[in-house]
Amino acid sequence: MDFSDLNDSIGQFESALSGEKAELVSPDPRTLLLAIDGSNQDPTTIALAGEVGRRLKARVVVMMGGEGEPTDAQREKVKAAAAELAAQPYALETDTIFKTAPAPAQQILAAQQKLAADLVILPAPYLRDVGLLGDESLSSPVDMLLAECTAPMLLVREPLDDPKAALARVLIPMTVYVPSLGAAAGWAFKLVDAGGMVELYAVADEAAAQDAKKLLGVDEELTADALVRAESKLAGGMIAAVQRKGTETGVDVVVDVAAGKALQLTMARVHEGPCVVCTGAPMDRTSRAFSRAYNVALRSKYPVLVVRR
Amino acid sequence: MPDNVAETAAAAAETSHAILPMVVLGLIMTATYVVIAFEWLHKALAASLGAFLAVIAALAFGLFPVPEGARTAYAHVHEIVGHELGVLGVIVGTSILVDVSSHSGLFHFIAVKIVKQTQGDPKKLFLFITLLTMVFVTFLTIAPGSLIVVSLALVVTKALDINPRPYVMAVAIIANSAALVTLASGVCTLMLATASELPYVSFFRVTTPLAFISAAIAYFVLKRFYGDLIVAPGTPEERAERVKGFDEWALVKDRRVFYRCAAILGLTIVGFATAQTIGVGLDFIALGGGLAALLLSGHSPEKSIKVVKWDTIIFFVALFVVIGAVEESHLLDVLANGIVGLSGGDETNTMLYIAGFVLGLSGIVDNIPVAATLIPVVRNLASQGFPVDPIWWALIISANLGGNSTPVGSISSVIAVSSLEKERGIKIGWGEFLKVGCTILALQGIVALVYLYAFARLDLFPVR
Repeated sequence: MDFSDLNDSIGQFESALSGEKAELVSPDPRTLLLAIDGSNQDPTTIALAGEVGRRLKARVVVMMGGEGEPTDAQREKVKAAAAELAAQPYALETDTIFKTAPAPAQQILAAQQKLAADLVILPAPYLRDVGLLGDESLSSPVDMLLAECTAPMLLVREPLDDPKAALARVLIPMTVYVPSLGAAAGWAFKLVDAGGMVELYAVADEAAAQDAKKLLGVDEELTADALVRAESKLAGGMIAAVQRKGTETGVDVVVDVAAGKALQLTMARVHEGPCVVCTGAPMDRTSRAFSRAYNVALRSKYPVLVVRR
Repeated sequence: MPDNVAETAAAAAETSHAILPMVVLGLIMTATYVVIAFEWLHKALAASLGAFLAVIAALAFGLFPVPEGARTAYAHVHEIVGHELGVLGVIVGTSILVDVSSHSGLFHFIAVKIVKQTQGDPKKLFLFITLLTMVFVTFLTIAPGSLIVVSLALVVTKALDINPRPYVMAVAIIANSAALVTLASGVCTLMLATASELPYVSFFRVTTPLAFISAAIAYFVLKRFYGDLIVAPGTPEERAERVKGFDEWALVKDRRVFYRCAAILGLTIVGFATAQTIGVGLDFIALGGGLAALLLSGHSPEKSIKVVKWDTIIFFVALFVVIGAVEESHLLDVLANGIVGLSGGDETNTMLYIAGFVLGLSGIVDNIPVAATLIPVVRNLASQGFPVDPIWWALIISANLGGNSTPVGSISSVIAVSSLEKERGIKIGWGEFLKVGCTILALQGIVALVYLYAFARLDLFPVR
């Protein structure tokens, strides 16, 4: 008898019976900080900030991160961006802020703290060679902000022709449940377009499972079916939380569970079409969950919201 | 009428047919069924091997006629398969539809919602597992329906620290009663309904009441056998608290697919019920339902088409070829005439003999080959002017209930017993299964025969 259907069915029931409940935190953002940088990503970043500000009914404050005192050219760019947002047909409250600090990240951080901004929206170069790090860094300002900033950050990657289209599909990648993921899911429902879709993509990481197997001295073979079943059980609380939220808000929610090389599968799913990726990253930068979120952000060509908790 | 039929049968029996082809093809068919029954080979492979040998034998004996417009007798094989395209279409369409539906989470969702009503009470859980089996098999057919309920039973009993044995046995046995609820509740039922062209609504009159009666018999016998095991540790409050924590929303993958599947299943059932009235075959309705499921399931077509149980389709095609070849040897005519001769041409007796024979045989051999073999036999009787509707009903009832006696008699028993062993390391041996299964089958068999007898004597069978 082929047991794959049985495994699948048992995995599903186990997810319903799993004790771990996910807490889906719904944010109430009032102020968004838009930090442009004068790069070719600015138009996408501004358009996305306008769209996010509109649907959250939040004030958008524009700034430009630079070194030292902002130059006149930078001030002009900031004002132009604020004016562009204010000129949109929807009534969007906008403002500007200028900070002086030795590094862009410090300026952004100071502005975020001063405004108590609930979300920072900024560009993060996509696959650009950043000095000696090659393409293994999101750029030093973003890395510094990820180290210090507690507010969620929406990182705009490759320039998009239609930034609004990305908000029709919000993807939450998951390997194991961490509280920041519940917070990321809360943001996902805030960001998604009316008539859009939230996708929860849970992947059992084959490599991590093999490591755990070695550590525990388990001889049993880990098949893809067994991993999917284990992941279903692990993701049960999160699946229930997003589906309940989807029913409450009328948003379509699609859940998929897979097993394999987690990062590879996740990125393939992300790049199926324009989307915003919502990922949770704990404040502890040495944790595996942080590393997973960072890697997703680094490799995604679509915008990534990193929610800290 | 019976006298005429008996005379016709006697005359037919006198017609001499070559014995050697009958023996050879009869042996090939029997050997195929034995290999399937004992799982010496995968059933699709066993049936394919049987078909291959049967075609060679039939060609060697010159049994196949050269079809009109064809150049070789081999073309008759295509005619055999073509003759059964209706059944194959029903199986393909239904298997796509039920597979997509069973993976939609809809039935898992309903199952957990219902189990929560038990508040962890083991006796209530036993009753609810029985009812869920009836409902799920009715809508999803035996294999997917019982697979969902078996997995539910395994997970819930583990969570509540209850012995899973009674619950799993309940699914194994009650699924065969549930397969009688409607025309589309089981593959065997579907196959016989397609072959006989019995109307959908007639099933509510003939098989549905018996489905519930036989399920009630199984429920009470199982409770008697396993009553001591239907207990749970801890206080009712603790169990209720544990069950309250079950979250059915964790089972929802995509709400849109959920609602679409429910709608497609509902429409397919309406389609089955009205197929004859609107002048289409059941295969058209089943394939329509399958197509709608493919289009609206939200999965990629490649992924959805892969869910079709192609091994089952190969099994059926090969089985029909074996039976088609055997039919050409006239062995099945001899069998038909033998049955009529034995019953003295009495239609009620013939119906009861066939029912008794199939009730006994279906426990040993997969009920699908048994039923498939008897389709040409019944058609043969029909061609002799014998009123065959009661026999079709007897065949449907006995082929489904007959699987209760052994752990290999039906797909639900195979799923239940092997899942229990794999997941929980609990083995239900042949001895235990035979004791419980044969007791249930004996009671169900007596009731079924009396039921059929009453229907025949009181002219209760629907008239077409």
